[in-house]
Amino acid sequence: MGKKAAVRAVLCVLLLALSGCTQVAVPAETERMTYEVGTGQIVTAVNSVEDGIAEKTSDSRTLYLGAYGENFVTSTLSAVGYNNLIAISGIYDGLFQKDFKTGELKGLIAESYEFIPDGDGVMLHITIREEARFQSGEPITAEDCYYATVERVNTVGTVRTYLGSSVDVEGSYYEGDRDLYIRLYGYDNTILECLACQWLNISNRSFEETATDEELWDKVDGSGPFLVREQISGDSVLLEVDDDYWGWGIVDQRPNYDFLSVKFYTEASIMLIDYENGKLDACIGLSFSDTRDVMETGRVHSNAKVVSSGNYTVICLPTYVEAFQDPRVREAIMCAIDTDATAIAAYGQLGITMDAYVSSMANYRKEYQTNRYDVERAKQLLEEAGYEEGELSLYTVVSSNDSCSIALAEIVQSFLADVGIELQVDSYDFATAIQMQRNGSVDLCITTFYTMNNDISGCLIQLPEGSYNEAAWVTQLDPALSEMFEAGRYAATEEEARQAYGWIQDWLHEQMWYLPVVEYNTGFICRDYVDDSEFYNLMHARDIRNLNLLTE
Amino acid sequence: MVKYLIKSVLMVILTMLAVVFIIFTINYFTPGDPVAIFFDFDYTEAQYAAKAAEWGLDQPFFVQFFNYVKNIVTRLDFGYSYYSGNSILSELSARFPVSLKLGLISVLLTVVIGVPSGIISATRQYSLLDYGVTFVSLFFAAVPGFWLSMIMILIFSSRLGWLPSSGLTDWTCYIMPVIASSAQYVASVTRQTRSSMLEVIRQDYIRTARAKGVSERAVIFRHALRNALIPVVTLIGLQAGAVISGSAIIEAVHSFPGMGSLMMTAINNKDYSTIQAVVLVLSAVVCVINLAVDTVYAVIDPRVEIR
Repeated sequence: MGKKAAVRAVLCVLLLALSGCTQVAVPAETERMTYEVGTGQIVTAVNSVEDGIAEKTSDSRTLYLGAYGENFVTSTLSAVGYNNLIAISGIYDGLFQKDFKTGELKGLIAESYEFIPDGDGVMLHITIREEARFQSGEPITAEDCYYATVERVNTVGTVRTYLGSSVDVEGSYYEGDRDLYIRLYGYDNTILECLACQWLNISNRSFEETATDEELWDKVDGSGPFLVREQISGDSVLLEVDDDYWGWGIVDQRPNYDFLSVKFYTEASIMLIDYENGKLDACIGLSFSDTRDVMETGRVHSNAKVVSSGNYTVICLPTYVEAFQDPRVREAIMCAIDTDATAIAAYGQLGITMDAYVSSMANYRKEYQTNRYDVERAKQLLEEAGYEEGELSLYTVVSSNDSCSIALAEIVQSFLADVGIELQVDSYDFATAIQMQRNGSVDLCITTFYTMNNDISGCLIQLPEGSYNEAAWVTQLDPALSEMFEAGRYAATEEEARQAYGWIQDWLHEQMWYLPVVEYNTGFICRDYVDDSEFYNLMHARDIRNLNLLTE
Repeated sequence: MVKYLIKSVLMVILTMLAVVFIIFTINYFTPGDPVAIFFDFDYTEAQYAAKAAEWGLDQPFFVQFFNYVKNIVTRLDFGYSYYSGNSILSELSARFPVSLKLGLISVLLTVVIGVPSGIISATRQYSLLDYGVTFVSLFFAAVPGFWLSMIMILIFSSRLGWLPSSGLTDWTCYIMPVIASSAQYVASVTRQTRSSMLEVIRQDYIRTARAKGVSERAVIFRHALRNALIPVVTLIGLQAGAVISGSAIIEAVHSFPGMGSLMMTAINNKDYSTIQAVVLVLSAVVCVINLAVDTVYAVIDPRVEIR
């Protein structure tokens, strides 16, 4: 009996000890601010307000950054996933660079540009900076730029998606070392934006054509300010500031550190533990719960912020579902779902309720009352359309890799159940879920849009006809949409573009095939000795070169 | 002995061939087009044809299978990742040593702690020590490794700041993953050793040895342990394979750059070629460990060879 009691006592003590070991973060006195930057992104910042700045406990010459996900490549040849871009954005320069604070585009490797009328098209003439060099010391030539931009229209799917209908590859060419001519079928007001994108970073043609896999892994000859010093698969990338980078003082300022260590985490909550233990100076891609916690309580000597990423989730009603041919059913679905509540419940601090049909970063964006939540009206419309309670049964799939999107689907399921619509939700791995949506295997498509070129055409028709998501492909809805997309993108004046894109957004609002639900934020935190005042592009480019260490 | 070893090696080769065939066949018939996935479903016909030809996917099934086996045997070439386009061999060569090291340390820990604990528990049956060992081993047998990982991170990384929570920068990074991946096995080996020892020390020949005045130490270590270890060796062999191949979630929790996290990422990205290669390598590890166990059997119990 005594022994049993002893065992029970030990067990109780152990359980009590374990239950007391919850993570304890030190809350801070904070100031909170929300503002919009030049790109249209909304930033919410929570900064601690102690006197002075914290002392950096780790190596003072290295900036330690944690990122959620995994690294794969440091070559522009096969850039997959956002985290590749973390390294790639430091290792390579593009022809142009976007200033996310002001929204302006500025020349990087391109010294100047001009649009020249060329028959029935337009020639974009870009002059390459004379001083531009690869990390090996070789000059960056117009041939390299042609290879990394024009040629990729044919070889890289993403580039073809955005530029395939604009760039006349056959008509483009280069002259000498500094003159690149990109022929456009017509004036494309997104071309410079596209050329500033990481998929079109400038790489060394002769290097990439002869490099081995090992060389492309950690010995790349980049065009940007960071050299790859070490890359450990699945773990980290160590970058070194290149003192010989041609652009210091010309297009950029040398940072106050020598090394940038990017560590990749497969579990985001572990990343924040390392941050709190002083092993990281900054973290990008905070988890849902960590973001909520950090934004509510703050952290001592830390600046936290969430920035809208431009990615947004939309519920699309596929045209091949017979019920949706009836506008009353479409409106009933719109009225059945409280999108504002859904966004907040599923994404918390990481979600922004949508009041438009396109990303907050898209030009010519119009705002609407997109949340039409009205259960009684939804029921009435379904009744008018001839659907009794439980008669309409739908099917959708979501990616099991994203807990927020599963939560979102379940909330939508619950809202639809309130009006008598049954929604079956299955979750599959990301690739399968996407493939099922693209194959048209779903009745209701919960999908994510993003834009590389900040253009409405980029938001809604990312991929060319035939290969795109059959359930969410917008231009199949009405031939007039295709015309208007072209009219907007290739408009000669801002007013023409505004009119065309305005028409599209009005049409979407009126026809109700799309229900915008939530735009994502990306969570970021850094110590107050890190200068993050220029760091807003947290999602697509993750432009880490805008992070610096404060000198005092 | 040599004949026995040759027979075992041949069995391993046959098993591996069967494994390769089964995995390759499943992979081949699994829905999903690797070329389309590589191009993110956006490609021209010419691009598709060129990539399919480069990867040999335009060949008939048996030609593909033959080439796959030939490339592995002659060049250790597992092909390219359908997701990133990187050489799988370079990924494996970076990740496998990490997982192997983690697995071997875990197995070592299992043997070093599990076997003596079992012996002590058996030789002092119904003592407080026996109860203590039984309680601890039952506790760890019941606790999943990934939960233990998270609790250890909370205590030793977040709360106390003694150990690194993730990554692989120095030897201290191994401590928590090793404990998490071996705890359950330590418990099983302890329990197995205890029950085997209890069974053996009740045998007549042990009583005879004691009656002849052999010291207790010699009775336990020379007469009892050798016979009691046979089922334990089997268990350790099985668990060695499991610990090397089955720590995927623990590796993911600790952001440990091993085979497990590589496989998890490959599964998430539907990167069939990488999944196939990882499963093959892990199967090979299990086969090799089983071969080693068979060899140890023959050493411990000469009757095995005769049979």
